[in-house]
Amino acid sequence: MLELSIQDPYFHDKMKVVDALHQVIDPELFVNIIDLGLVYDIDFTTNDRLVITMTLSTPHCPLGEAIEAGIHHVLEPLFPNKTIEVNIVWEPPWNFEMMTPEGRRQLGIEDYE
Amino acid sequence: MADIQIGKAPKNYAVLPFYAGGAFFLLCIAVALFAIIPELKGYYAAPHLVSVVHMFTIGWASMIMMGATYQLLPVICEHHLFSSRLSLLSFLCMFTGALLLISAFWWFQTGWLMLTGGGLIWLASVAYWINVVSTGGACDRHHMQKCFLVSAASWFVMTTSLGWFTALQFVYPSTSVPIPIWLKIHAHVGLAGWFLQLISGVSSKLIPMFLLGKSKKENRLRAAFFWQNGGLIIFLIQAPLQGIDWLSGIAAVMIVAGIAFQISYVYDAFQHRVRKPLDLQMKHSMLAFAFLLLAILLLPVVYRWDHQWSIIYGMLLLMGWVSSLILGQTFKTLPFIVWNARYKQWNGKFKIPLPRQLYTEWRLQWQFRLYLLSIGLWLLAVFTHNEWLAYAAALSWLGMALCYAVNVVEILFHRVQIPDHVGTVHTRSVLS
Repeated sequence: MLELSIQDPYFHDKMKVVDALHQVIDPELFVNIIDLGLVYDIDFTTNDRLVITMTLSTPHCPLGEAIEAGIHHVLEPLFPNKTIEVNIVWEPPWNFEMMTPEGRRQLGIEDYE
Repeated sequence: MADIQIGKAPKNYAVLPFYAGGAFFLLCIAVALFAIIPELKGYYAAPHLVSVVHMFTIGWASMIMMGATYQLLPVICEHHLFSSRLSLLSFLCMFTGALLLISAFWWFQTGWLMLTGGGLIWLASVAYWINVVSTGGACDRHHMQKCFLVSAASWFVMTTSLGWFTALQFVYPSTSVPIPIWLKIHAHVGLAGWFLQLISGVSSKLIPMFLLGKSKKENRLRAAFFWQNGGLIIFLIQAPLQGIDWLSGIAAVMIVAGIAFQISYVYDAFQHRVRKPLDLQMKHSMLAFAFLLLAILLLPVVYRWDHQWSIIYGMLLLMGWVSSLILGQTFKTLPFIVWNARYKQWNGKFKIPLPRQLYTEWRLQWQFRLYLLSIGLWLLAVFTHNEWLAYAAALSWLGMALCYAVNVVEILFHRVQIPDHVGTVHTRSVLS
């Protein structure tokens, strides 16, 4: 799960990334990828690169390309000097417990314990 | 690195023609149903009835199932589809073969028309089998869904081979086994081999996925696979030798046990779902399983009395189980396939519609209502031998088919409106 710390030197930039990624929707579930808990890490530590480590709700999902394109489209205008990289991982596998309360509400599962 | 990890959808031409073909045949069925009403009281294997049954099984159900499988195989097997061109070839053979075979049955032209149609459908099934086995073979992970898809494809080839062999018996009789026995074997291998096992594999993957539910009882799926296939193999060996007798009954019990295991797996996932509300598409799917259960309960009655009960049994399976599943799942798969093809490069660039906005919701609602009405009226009409009820049922079915077909056409011909200020887009591959 993505965790941001205020002590992180890139905290401000990471918040901008999180805000922008709220616009990228998983077309299968109609919820944005942040509230779905698909984004695992945002990395600014490598020069000239911004690496988004994330997973997909279904392995080998054909809609993965659309999500990746969406990430590029919202981040490139915000960080024009960075090369955006999307790193897809399958570990840990995604499950609905990774969703934020807002994501659960949008899927109609707010009563899930 | 992501290149090898993100699924690439098959080419559009490998999948979309099947949905268009299926919609076309659903409309053909709707028209043909009016014509067969006076014949419903007669023999269930009369030419027009057999023709309509093949519209259902080949033109409608197999057509959509093949297209949907080509799209879902890469997701289930976690590997790209072996060949999109082979998929297109299978469509061309299937569509042409279906037209020829259905015409041959309608006008009862045994001979080259029936054999050519059957031959083309056999070729389509072989092309499909090669694609399924080659895609599944490239997948490292072993799971039951893959086993179901491969066995379903193998039973599909067996069904088309038996069908063609039965058609040959009309022209050149070469065995002592009567044609009605061959017809029953062909029909049951198709239903319990091809349809049941494909639906078992696909539904055990898709239903938990759509409902965000999970079942940890994989052993039920394993049991379902072995019971269904064990029963079918016994039936296939025994029926041509001894006809339909007590051993067929044991085979049927084994297949029913397999169905029970599969349904219990899906039900477990359904009970543990976190997405509680069911949309119309899922209601269609749940209804399909209810029709399957009803048909199974009818089996002893069909065996004992045959005739009208056979027609009701067939209706529950083809108009109920198979059709309800397809009518719902079409709108769970097709809008995503088209959306992905049209919008994947524009995601995040400007406000784009969601997949569910590619068709008209009220038409889907009417499709569901008219479908329920039609099924109810059909069953009542056959029970009471009332022709007027049957015409009302056929009219409802026509309305339902029109709602479905118009929505499918709307999705297939959806056009993207691109604003002038969009600029460049990110692509990871040459767009198809």
